[in-house]
This record gives sequence, C-alpha cells and structure tokens, in this order.
Amino acid sequence: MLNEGTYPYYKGGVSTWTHSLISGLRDFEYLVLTLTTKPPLRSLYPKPPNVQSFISIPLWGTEYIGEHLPDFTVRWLMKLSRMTSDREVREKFAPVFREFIREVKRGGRNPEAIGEALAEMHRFLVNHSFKKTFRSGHVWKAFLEELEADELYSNMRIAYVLKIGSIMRSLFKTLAYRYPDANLIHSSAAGICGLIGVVKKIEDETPYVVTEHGIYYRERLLDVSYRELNLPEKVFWLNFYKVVTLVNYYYADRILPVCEFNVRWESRFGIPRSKIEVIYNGVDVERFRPMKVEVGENPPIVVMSRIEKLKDILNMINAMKYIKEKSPQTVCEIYGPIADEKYFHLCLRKAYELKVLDRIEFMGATDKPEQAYNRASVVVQPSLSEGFPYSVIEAMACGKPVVATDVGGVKEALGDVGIVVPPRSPKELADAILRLLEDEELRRRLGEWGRERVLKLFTYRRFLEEYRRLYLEVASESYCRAG
Amino acid sequence: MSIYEDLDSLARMVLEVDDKVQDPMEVAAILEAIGVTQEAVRELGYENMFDLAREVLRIADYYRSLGEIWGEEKPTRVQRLLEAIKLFLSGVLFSSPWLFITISYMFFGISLLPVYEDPLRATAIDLAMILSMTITSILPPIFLRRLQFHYYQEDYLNSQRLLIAYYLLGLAVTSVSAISIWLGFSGAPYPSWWTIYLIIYFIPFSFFWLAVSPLYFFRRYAALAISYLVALGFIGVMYRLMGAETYLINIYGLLLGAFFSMIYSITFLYIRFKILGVGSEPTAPPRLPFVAYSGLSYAFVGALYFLLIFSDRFIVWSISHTGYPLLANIEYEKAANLSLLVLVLPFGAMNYYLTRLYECISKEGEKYRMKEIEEYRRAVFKIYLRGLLMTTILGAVSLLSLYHVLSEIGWIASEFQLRIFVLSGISYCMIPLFYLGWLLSCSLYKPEPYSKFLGLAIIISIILCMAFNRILGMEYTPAGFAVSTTIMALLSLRNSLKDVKEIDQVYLSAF
Repeated sequence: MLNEGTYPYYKGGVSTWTHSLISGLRDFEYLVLTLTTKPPLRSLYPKPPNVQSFISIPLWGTEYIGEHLPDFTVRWLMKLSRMTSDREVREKFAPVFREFIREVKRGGRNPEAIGEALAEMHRFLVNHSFKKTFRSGHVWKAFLEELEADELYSNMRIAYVLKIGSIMRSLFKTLAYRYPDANLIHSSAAGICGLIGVVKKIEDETPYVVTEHGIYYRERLLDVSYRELNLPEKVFWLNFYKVVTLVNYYYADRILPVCEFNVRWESRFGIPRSKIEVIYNGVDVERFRPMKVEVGENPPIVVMSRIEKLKDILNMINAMKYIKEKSPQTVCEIYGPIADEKYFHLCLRKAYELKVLDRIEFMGATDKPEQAYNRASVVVQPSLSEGFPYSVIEAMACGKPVVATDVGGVKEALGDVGIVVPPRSPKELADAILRLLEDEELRRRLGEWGRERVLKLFTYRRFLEEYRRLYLEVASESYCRAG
Repeated sequence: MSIYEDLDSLARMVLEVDDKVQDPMEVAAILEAIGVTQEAVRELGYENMFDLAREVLRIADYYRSLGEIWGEEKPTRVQRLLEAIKLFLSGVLFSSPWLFITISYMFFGISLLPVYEDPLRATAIDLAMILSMTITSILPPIFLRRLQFHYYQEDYLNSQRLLIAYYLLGLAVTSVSAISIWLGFSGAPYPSWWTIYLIIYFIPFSFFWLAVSPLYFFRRYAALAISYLVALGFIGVMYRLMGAETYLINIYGLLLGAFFSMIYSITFLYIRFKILGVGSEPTAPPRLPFVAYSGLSYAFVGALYFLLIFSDRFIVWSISHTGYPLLANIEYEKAANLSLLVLVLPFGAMNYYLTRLYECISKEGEKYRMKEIEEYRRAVFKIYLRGLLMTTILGAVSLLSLYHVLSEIGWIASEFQLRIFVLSGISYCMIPLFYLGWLLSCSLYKPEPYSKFLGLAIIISIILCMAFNRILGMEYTPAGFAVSTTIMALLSLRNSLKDVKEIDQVYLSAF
C-alpha cells in the first residue's frame, strides 16, 4: 500500500480510508510505504495484525537515503559511494534523466518513455549513491541544457531553476529505495508515491491499482495556482505533475476513483473507461449510528475537518456571522487537527473580526468522531475540494442531517437526503443550516433517510467486498498474462 | 448560480486566484474551487466544466493582453543601506572574540587567560588553550552542522536533541581528554603542580569553546559577543575587587561565559521548539553513525586547522634546550600572540562578503534568466573576487597598522620580536584567505579537499619551521609557518574559485 503524506502518520480522510481497508481485509498481508516530508517518529494508528510494517520514505529531513531505517548502515552507504563514478553517472544516469526532463517539458506525450526512464533511474539509484549521483555536474548540465533549449524555460529566472532542481532531487528520493516484491501494489493517489507502483510494474510486472480520492492532478493544479509562482516555474510544475499522473494512470491495471465526479477528470487523460471503476467509501454502521450523548439545550453545528485552506473553514466562519444574527445561541464545534498553522490563525482572526469567536469552538482532533457527530444538530462540510468525504457518510450513518458544499463526490454521497450548496457561498451555507435549525421535523427526516442511504449503498462490508474482489481479479489477470 | 453571472466575471475571478493560468484543466480546477458547479456550467450553456474552462481561459488571456499584471519590487536605497550596515555589524560581531580580547587587553589590561612571565606557567596555559581548541574542534562540525541541517528545516525537536547530545558528549570528551592529558604528562619531567595547572585550564577552556560554538552555527553573533563580554567583564571586575592575582578568576570568568552561551543556545532552541514548532510533527532522531559519518570530514579539517596555526609554537617549544619536552619562550609567545590581532579586520571583511555571496547566489539568481547563466556566474564570481581583494587588503592594512601602533607603544621592543611579529602576521593574513574558501565549501557541503590542503600545510610548516629554527634562528621559525599558510591559502583559493565559477551547480548539489 502506497501513501503520500497520509496513513499512518497523519490523520485525515485518506488515512481513515487506508486504515479501514487494511484492517478489514485481514486475509491480505500489507506492507505500508508512505512518502513523508520528514522521517516521522510514530504512527498515529495502531498497526493491524496483517501489516508487516510501516515504512516511511522521507523526502526531506534526512541527509542520506535510508538513514532513518535500521537496515541501512554507514558501511552500505560507503559501498554505494565507492560504486558511483562520475563516468557512470554521465553515461548511465544523465541521459535517462534528460529523457525524463524532456518528457516533462512536453507535458507527457509518451507515457511509456516516461515509465522506462523512471524504471531505468530506479535501477541506477538503488545501486549507486544518491548524493553522489545528484552532486554530479552531468545531471545538473543535462537539466540546464534541456531547459535552455526551450524558449519558455530559457526565460526562467536562475533562482527558480535552482529551486526546481532542489525540489526535484528531493522527489527523486522515491526512486532511490529498493522495494520488496509484492503480489499487488495499491496506491492511494496517482502521485509521486504511485511511481513506486509504476517502476515495480515495469520491472517485475507487479499488478498495480490506484485509488483516487481527490484527483491528485487537480489538487496539484489548485496548489500551484494558489502559490505565487513565476510563469515558467508554474508551467514546469504543472507539466511535471501531469507527467506523474499520466504515468500512474497509464501503468495502473485499474483506476479506482471514490466517486463518479472524479471520472470526468481521469477521462481527460485519455484513459479508457473500462479501466476505471468507481468504489465508494464505506462506513462502519455499528460504530457510526445514532446514539445518546450528553449535549446541552442547544446542540451544536458540527464540522469534522482538518484545519487547512482546501477545507475552507473560513466559509463556515463567514456563515456563522449570518447564523448568529438569526440564532444567537448556536455554537459551531470544529473537530480536526490543525494542518496549516497560518490558516488556523487566519480563521481565528476572521472569527474575531466577525464577532463570532464566542460561537466557534476548535475542538482539535478526536478519537471518537461518532460521539461528536451525535452531538450535532446539523453536520456541515464547507470544503473547497473533496473526493468522497467520510465526514459526510459518517454523519449520515449517525442519522444526522448534512449540509455540504457541492464539490467532488459530495452530491453522490448525499443524493437527495442532504442539502448541497455551492462552495464559497457562506450566505447560502448559512441559509441551509438555518433552514434545518428551524425545522426539527426536516432534521429528523433527513437524518433517518441518510442512515437508510448509507445502509443501502455505503457500508463498510460492501466496501471491503468490492476491494477483495478487485484485488483477486487484478492479481489473477496478471497471473494469466504471465502465463 | 448566484454569484457568477457571466464568463467575464468568471475570467476575472480566475485571474484573481492566479493571474498566470495557462491550461484549461487548471482553469477548471479553479472554477470548481470558486464554486462553479455542474448546474452552473449547464446554465451557462456548456456541456461540461472543461468546455467552460477553455472559454474562460480565452477571456482571461484577453485581459492579460491588456497589460502586465505582475512586477517586481526593488528595494529602496535606504533599505539597501540598512542591509549593508546590518551585514557589516554582523561581520564585526563575528570577529568579536579577537576584537574584545584585544580591546580589553590593550585598554584595560584584562585578558581571558592570565598573563605570566614564568615560562612554565605560560606553557601550561598556552598548551591548555591549544589542546582545548584542537580537541573540542572535533565535536561542533559533527553535531552542530547536522543541527543546522534540522534547524533550517524548522525541525526544532531534533535540533534540541542534537544540541543536548553535543553538550553531553562535549562533557565526556573533555573529561576523557583531561584524564588522558594528565596521564600523558604525568611521566614528563615537569613539576607536579604543572600538570594540574594544565588540566585546571584545559577544562574551562574546553567548556568555553564548546559552549560558544553553537552561536556561530546559529549565526547569533550578538550573543557570541556578549558571551565574551560576560567572561571578560567578570574577570575585570573581580581583579579590581579582589586586587590580588588569583588564577581562579580567569577560570570562573570562562565558566560564566560558557554558562551564558549554553543557556542562550538552549533557550533559543527551546523557544523555537515550544512556540514556533507547535505545528511541526515529531520526527525520528538522526542515528549517531550517520551524524558522525557526515560530520567527520569537517571535524578532521577543524582539528588539523588548529594544529597548523600553532605548529610553529610547538617547534619553538620543543627546541627549548631546557630538559622539558615543551617549554614556551615568553618573548616568542608575546610577539606571536600579538600577531594574532591581524586576524580581526580581515575576518570581519570575510564574513561580510561571504554573507553577501550567499545572499547573491539567490538574489542574483532572481535577476538573471536561464539564458544569461554565464552573466549570473560572472556576477557571483565578481562578488567573491571583491571579497578576496578586501580580505587581502584589510589583512595587509591590519598588519602594517598594528606593526606601527605596537612598535610605537613599545609592545614590540626588539628585533627578535619584530621578526616574529611580521612573519607570523603574514601567516595570519593568509588564514582569512583560506577561511574564505573553507567556509564557502562548508556551507556548500564540500569539505573533502581541505583536509589534504591542511595536511600538506602542516607537513610543510613542521619541516620548514624546524629548518628555519635550526639554520637561521628562533625568530625565523614563523617563516615556515608563513610559507605553509601561503601555499594552503593558494590551494584553497584555487579550489574555491573553481567552485564559484560553477556556483549554480555547486550550490544546488550542496544540500
């Protein structure tokens, strides 16, 4: 199982999904590889018995490849260093690296060439010193020459080229590890982590499937758009991520979006529909069920979300201004870890400016989300971007009415048993919440229908069955192909 | 479809989010993020989001064609001036140890180490200083370089762990070294008090060097200056209060300065860890063998450096013809110590230009485009050359003016001392030139060639110092040192000039 900045080191929807899947499919053994920024100290989830181990691949925060792993030793590092000569880097690595950069420049026209280049670089890097390879002038020269040959990139400021070069090198650390053999590789994103699946597919024909929660490329597009970047730098990153996504889609045996909404994006990459199969997330209906919990006279509005820009907590804070006018006693409880400290401070300031700071409570991450949902009068999901959010189906399973923004697969989850509003429309969000707050009967009805809908379509059992079937299907197809 | 009535407003909204949109898919992502739903797309008469995005991009392109949207802010003259003053002051503070020691000794007669006319005592104190500098110089490159790596990634927890490990290991190394020194010298024909005297100074000196080193790595030069002021201030006040010559005052002063530095470094990191590090996740600590592996070559260079700069003294001490294996010559020591003052000015210039150089690597990079890479390299090269020139000039000016001033006030009284002062002074003019290359290579993570340069310089220095001492006399001993440091500075320059010529590649491959 391949992850990127999620399970088991960070909390969030994708982590919940991974943990549920792995814990549920006890008949399969997993090795969990996660790309992280730094080598994490501890996992935030208990290790299920069918997980061999959790391994992190830090892209920053270590000086040497594998220094955080017990199997790697200084002696091994020295051996790799001795095995790496400048001539070898020039003859074996630099040309392939150049080919990869050429494809990035073109925005990925030939996925097979990209895949071959990645596999070739992986073969080289696992047998040579990563540091020495990237320190070689030949790699930098290949990079510069390829960019200089292009009219747009040759106008790029040198500072940005240095920055791009430095980030690229960190991302390439993914290719510097020797990965164990597997019967099937499952990636939770068509991103950098998926490149491990791609190279294993090319090298050993290991079957590879990829689940798309939010669309990786779409999220990178937004990320790049919101950052202050110089135009050529921006174009470079857009092309780079396009290449990464494309090569993932191309080599994957199945692409598994969590909702129909995502299919539109995947189809844009020219992927045949037959390769795409939607598998909705499932929720444990025993754990998430209506229950009695202690709550005051005015049950709060509950938001279950990480505090970060994409989750648009500001949308909820703005909506609270309107809600406070009509329903001054209503409080909003926001459960979730602070993923973006700066954004959190922005939220606090906004709440203070709108004089709703006393109506909003940041509760932090919770281990008992089912109790938090059951405290709610209404559960709100104010996000800008979602795949198929757990918070929505978990709230529905708890029999709570949901108001959510119309993003990703939210509408597919809610059907007609919840209220969807356009994203970034706090007034409409507030109106929908107020409508529910004022109408107890409507709240009750939507809650009941929501639970029924979950029981019918989004149960944990169905979710596990779908993946079990898929794993066996893909593995047997691969077995048949191999003859 | 309440807020977006037409394509025009959509295009403006998209440009507000990102004025450099290029790709219809990017526009589609932004449209979805700003609240354009499938219904809205259909209401606007489009089949799907991507068709709408293509049209919105066309309008956005039109708006962009009306005028340049983004520009660059240039710093004002006042901002540039303030920046220059800041850098200069930081350069001055960087060389504060030498500066304060000089000022306090010249004007107030206060010295960090007690000044004795008795050669045996002077040997013990000087040897304690040299040994403590050399031995403790091994640890900072190993731990603090790695600390810096984590610190700049805002990984304060690991920075703190490394700092504590550094202090603890420093304590252990100092203790073990003290015992080894005691055992090593106990068989030597010195009086019994001499070894104790050596150890008593070796320990606080070691603590002091160990404690102030993190301040260099954090670039907290003001705190570094204060540490020296605390030590010197205490020594000065206590001498005046007690009115008696007691060697313990210097020891307490050194320990107090060390204590201040330690408290400062720990607090400095603790505040960052507790206040700024709230959002950062706890990360796995680096493994000691890897820390040692990456830092050993730096440590090796550090230790060799101290062996080199005192190599002439060892030769002089070892040829004392007194029966003692090592014995300082007071006249030689005075002149050689005074020549160390030559370092102050060129060190300041060196720091100023190195800081400018680091900044220029990225700042000049923002000015030049890829196709102008040769101009960029030349611009950075020019700054480095200017640094070299200024360091050399200031070294020469420093030597000449010190020679003049010290002769005038009678501190260099004899021909013998004059020769030592001038020859050692020439060597110390070369040291900053070596340092310029060495520090640049350190920050670019390329320490490897410098151990060879230093090794060669030490061998040359020992051979020539011995030869000059025997053939021409003791006062010509530093000529060997001067030749070796000149060769080393030239090698260092050749290496660093090569690096600076390809600064983009060297800089990128550094981290």
